[in-house]
Amino acid sequence: MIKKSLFTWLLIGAAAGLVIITCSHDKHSNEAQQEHEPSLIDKIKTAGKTSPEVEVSVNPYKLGIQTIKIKQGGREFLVPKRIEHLINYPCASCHTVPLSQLALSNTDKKRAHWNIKLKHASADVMNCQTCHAPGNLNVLHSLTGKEISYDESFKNCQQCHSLQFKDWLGGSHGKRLGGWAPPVIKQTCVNCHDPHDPSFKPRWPARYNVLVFPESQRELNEQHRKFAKNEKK
Amino acid sequence: MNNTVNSQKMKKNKFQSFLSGSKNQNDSKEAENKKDGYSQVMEKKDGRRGALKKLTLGLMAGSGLASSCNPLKGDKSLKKAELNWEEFFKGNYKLMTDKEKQATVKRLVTRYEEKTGDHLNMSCSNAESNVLFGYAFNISKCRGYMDCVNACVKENNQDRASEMQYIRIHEIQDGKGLNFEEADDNYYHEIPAAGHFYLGTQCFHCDNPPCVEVCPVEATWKEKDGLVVVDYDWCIGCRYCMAACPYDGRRFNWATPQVSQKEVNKNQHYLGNRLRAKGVMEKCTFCIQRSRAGKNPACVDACPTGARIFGNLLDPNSEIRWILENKKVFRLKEELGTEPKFWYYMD
Repeated sequence: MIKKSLFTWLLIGAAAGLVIITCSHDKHSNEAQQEHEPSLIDKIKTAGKTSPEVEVSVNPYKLGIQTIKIKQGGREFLVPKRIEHLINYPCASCHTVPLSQLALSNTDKKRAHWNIKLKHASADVMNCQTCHAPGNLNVLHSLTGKEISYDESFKNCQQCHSLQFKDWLGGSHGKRLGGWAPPVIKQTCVNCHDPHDPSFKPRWPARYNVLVFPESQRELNEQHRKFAKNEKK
Repeated sequence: MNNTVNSQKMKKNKFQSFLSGSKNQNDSKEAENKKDGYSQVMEKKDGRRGALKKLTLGLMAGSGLASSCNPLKGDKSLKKAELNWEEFFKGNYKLMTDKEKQATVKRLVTRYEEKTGDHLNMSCSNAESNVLFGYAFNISKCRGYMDCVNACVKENNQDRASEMQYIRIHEIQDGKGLNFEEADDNYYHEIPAAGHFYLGTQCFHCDNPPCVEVCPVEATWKEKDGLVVVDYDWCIGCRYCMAACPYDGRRFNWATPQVSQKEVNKNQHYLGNRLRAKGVMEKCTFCIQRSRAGKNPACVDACPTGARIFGNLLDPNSEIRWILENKKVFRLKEELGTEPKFWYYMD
């Protein structure tokens, strides 16, 4: 009896010892790992609340664009100027009379903006004058009649596309110019979307995806040629 | 500066371990790591390496003698032979000092210029502090245009013969979920196809990269700015990394990559788009030659839809951080613990 109980006690003691050792070992190795390298989230979280200084930067002049500063929603960045790219600006050099008078005058002549068709929302929602100010065509205007410069045309878009605007300010919608380094230069809405026809059109891929067998590739080539012919027709 | 500090540290470490009389394995390993590649090869104490050292020294002396004795060989060819010799016995880029990096880049540039007569611009810029690169991909914006792939191939001098591509664009049917087995990677039709969405994959530059773990020669590693890179001259082509990558992020050169002279992008980085040889691994480097210069990777610049966002994860005002904090983001195979620095999100 005595022998048996001694044996069991010994066993229990050994097991407890083992547990203690393995536990302390586990703790130790965990600590070592943490010291070794923080996790990705920790790295991001402990990075600080202000932008760190980096050596590289983007020079807008090198990109060959002129920019204006935008301050909205607690974010500050640059967008390309627009007015220089408008071919017939200022509009008032042709538009000497208000639109209301122009409509009454002779309409036999070919219209100046004949090639622009508004494919943006329905006719119930939008017409030319939703954005263009009929009284002063050098500027755009908001829904409440406030003047908006062509350089800040995003203020027009923002009125309906508030979610996209928020995403654009934050950076999940739109495109950076120059690179990731400061300062932030972004394309403005009209740099990617034609305001008169804003949707992206379907098209063909720029290339084949992963390599396919030569024979089927030839087939695809022919398909493509056929499609191009049909398009021309 | 850094070097002298490092060597001082090394000495200190050695001194301390001498004092304590203990053989601290970590210390000795660290000291070994601090050595440059050449001395790492040449000064190893075990017998095999010692023999190699003697052998190469003998070879060096022998070839030097032979070339100096040969009256037909000019000064130019001697220099060329010397250059090739140094290039062949250079160390692992990871262990090189800045000076050694510059020397190898210079050698590679001279070799290319002698071979082709074209000028080359190769950088060996190091990771900047306060920078950790991250990437976000908007699956509601991508339309499968493949402009990113074209830009990538052009920028990174990928093999035209085998049509090597780092980026895959998967066409996935709505309702099928992220099932890559049922995704179409070979689509060629008008896009976007109705009832489908598009998702791009490439190297995710994991923060805990399994490909780096398995490399038997440490030819691939994670840089301080988070980029997982390959030293093409140290890679032995075993393809362990290719097998270890859960994301199909790595590519192997089965044959010598073919890039016509005109199409070679001559703005290169040692760890990036410089021309590769047959039998080595390569992969997306987030265009290290561009990103370390403050630019966006070529795929980000080329995307017409703005589905690709790139930036500094350590900058709280960066776009990538805004996306992480304001969008519902996810990563592929997160349960593996690889910590990819490549997030997907939707509008």
